[in-house]
Amino acid sequence: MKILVVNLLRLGDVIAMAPAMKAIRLQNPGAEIHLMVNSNFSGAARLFEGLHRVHRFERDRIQAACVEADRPMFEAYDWLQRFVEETSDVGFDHIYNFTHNRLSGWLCGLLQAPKKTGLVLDGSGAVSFGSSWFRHLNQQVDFDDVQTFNHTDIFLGAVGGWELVSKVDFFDTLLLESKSGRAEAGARLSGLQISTQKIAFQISTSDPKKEWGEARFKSLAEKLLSAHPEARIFVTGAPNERERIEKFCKSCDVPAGLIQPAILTLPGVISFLEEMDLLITGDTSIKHLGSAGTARVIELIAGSADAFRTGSWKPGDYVVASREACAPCGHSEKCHRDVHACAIAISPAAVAALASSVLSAMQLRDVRAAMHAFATVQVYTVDRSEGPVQLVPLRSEHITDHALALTIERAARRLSLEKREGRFEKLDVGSEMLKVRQGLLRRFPDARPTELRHALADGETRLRHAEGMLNSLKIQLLRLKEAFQDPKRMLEMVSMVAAMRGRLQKNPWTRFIAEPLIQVIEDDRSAPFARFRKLSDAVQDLGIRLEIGLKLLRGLEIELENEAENEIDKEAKNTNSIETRIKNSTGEQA
Amino acid sequence: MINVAKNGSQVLQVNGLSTASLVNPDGEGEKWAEAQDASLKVAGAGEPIVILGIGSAFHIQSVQKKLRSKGHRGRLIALDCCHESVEFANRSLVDVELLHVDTACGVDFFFARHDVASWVTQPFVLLRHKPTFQRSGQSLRFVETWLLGRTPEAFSAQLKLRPQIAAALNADRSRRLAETPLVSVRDLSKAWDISSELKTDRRLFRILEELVR
Repeated sequence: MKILVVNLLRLGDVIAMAPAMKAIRLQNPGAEIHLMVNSNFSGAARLFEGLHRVHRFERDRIQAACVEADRPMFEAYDWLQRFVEETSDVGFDHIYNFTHNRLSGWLCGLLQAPKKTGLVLDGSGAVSFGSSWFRHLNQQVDFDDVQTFNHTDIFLGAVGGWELVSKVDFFDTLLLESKSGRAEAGARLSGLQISTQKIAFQISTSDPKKEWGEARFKSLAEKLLSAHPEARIFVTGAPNERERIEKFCKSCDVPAGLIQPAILTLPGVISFLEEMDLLITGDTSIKHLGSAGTARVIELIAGSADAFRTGSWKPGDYVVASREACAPCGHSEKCHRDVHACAIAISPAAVAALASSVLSAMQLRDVRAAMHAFATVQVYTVDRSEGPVQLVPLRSEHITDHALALTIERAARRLSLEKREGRFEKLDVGSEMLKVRQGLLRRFPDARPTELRHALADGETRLRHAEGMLNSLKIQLLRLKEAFQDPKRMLEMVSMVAAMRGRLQKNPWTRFIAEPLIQVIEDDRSAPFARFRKLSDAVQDLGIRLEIGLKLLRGLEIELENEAENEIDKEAKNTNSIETRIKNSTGEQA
Repeated sequence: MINVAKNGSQVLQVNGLSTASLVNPDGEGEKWAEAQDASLKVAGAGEPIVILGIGSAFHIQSVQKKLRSKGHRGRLIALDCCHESVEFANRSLVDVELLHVDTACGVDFFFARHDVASWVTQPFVLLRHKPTFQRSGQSLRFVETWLLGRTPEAFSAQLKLRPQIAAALNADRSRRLAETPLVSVRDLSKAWDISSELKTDRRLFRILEELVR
């Protein structure tokens, strides 16, 4: 079996597919796994266990050949033609495209393989995804941030990795360390005592908009070292960043030696981070290395960094973002503000307080208390109780329909995607439901089972009502099957669907199940059969989501009912015990 | 005519002009080779390296040494319009293909040559020896233009080497390319025939169009 994994994005995106790569390897023992990456990032291939060969896509070269007038006109074409031929000649059985852009879609459309998962464009530009998860990735561009799945989890879903996650310590050892990397890290840390607290700063990012700012990092360093005088700070960077980092370290107003540069190669930084107690970083590839390793990560979100889609993904890590309305901004947009507001809003004092909490191994409730005063920042913990990453606000949330529905709908959406992939039957719905319960506990730690149960019961009522609407829609669809060529009947049906969609979208409990209906549009010019097909698919998808949503809700309600009963029993026992003690002590006094 | 440089190396003189330094031509050649690092970096291990301008060939020897040390296995090809340079270089160079180009024969004749056609439709790295360019007048510039394939005439000649692309272009839209001073991937994107959308070459160019978007 020969498998090709294509990722033509940047280094951080290549590292973010580490869980998916591990899943592919575990599912296909003995398979030859090839990786296609941009030649700039081919070093990242060494991080993945079991790779047979790396195919280097010379993006910079062919792009330059296209735009520079002093390069041969056909250089890029000749190179690409040869590359596609040589890659196809390997004879792949399965191609995974984790790049999800048009360039990779066209490329994967040309590569020969019987099975392709991910965005593929055929000659006419028609799109196929090969997986409900990748189709979902395309759709979630339009979602609210809090609804979205982290891309790491989408990749994992697309390769069928969710079954594996619960079976093994899956997220341990995602990336390979090398001997040379260990030696490099060891040399950098020589002389330090094991007990010294080690903190890594990653001050630079690929885009100045995403940088928190050297001045703020400086202030953070001074605060941290004042609170933790035994700690050491290492400012990480690649060899081409040496000058900047050395200048930064010299400019910090701290005793000599407490803050030092750590200029490392990629293998070196992987091993180096394994020795760190804490990594404080912007949205960079180092962040993803931190998520794949053992160091706790505090990610500082600024500019176009998207915490929900591409943020930190290791449980227990933290994400700190401003509450500025303009964040996140678009990748290619220039900042329209006079000041870098989203970075300024994250004060060094807030980050120092959070970092101190992590270094002191505080319990979550104490971290919450420590951060309570910092109103301009939103702090999230990365939680994987349910499986996919959830960014849970550090401040306790009150139970609202919106917040509760969001938790349920994410779980239902994941399970419905697995059902579309034919994997739902392999899942244990009971344990999936318990995972959702864990997620609710994390999100609403102060909520009592009874309170949750009542809120969920409301949600169930809404979904049952939607179920009624769906049943009448199914009947109409059956009638339309005989008459879909009639434009009037088709339009009536589409209008009914649009009206139903509008009603469902008004309520947070039913908003997510309405998503499949978004693709049913009134001015669709496809052929009648294609329109009917889209309608049927949308209704089927809606039915799957409803079914799963109701199963989850019912299961949770029963679980919460049991918990509520246990609570009552416990209270009763406590009350009896107190009364007995009072009686006994009164008796003694008498 | 051959002169002896201060360091003892022989330097070719053509029309009264020296084709390399009369002090340290080897050093001059090495310096030029160092300056080609960025261009050579992109070359695949088996890709042809094409040098325009032979002169006294010191720079070619230096590039050859550099390529060998990097494990480059591809062909090293040098072109010049000056007979004397080609003959002179032949005496000292081994494993380098030396091509004399007569620009009077025209671009189609040039591409029809077996010793050109065998590499020109592969990806290759093009290096220019500027000192030789300056001495040679317009002739090397013509060859450069042909190899770049961006002027309408050179583009048209290169298309003949790639008939599958020519067949996929729309005749009317392609005629407009003749009015473009320098053809680019963007210009070409407007010249495809609708019937060629499913063809491999059209799809390859779709990828390139994404890169220049």
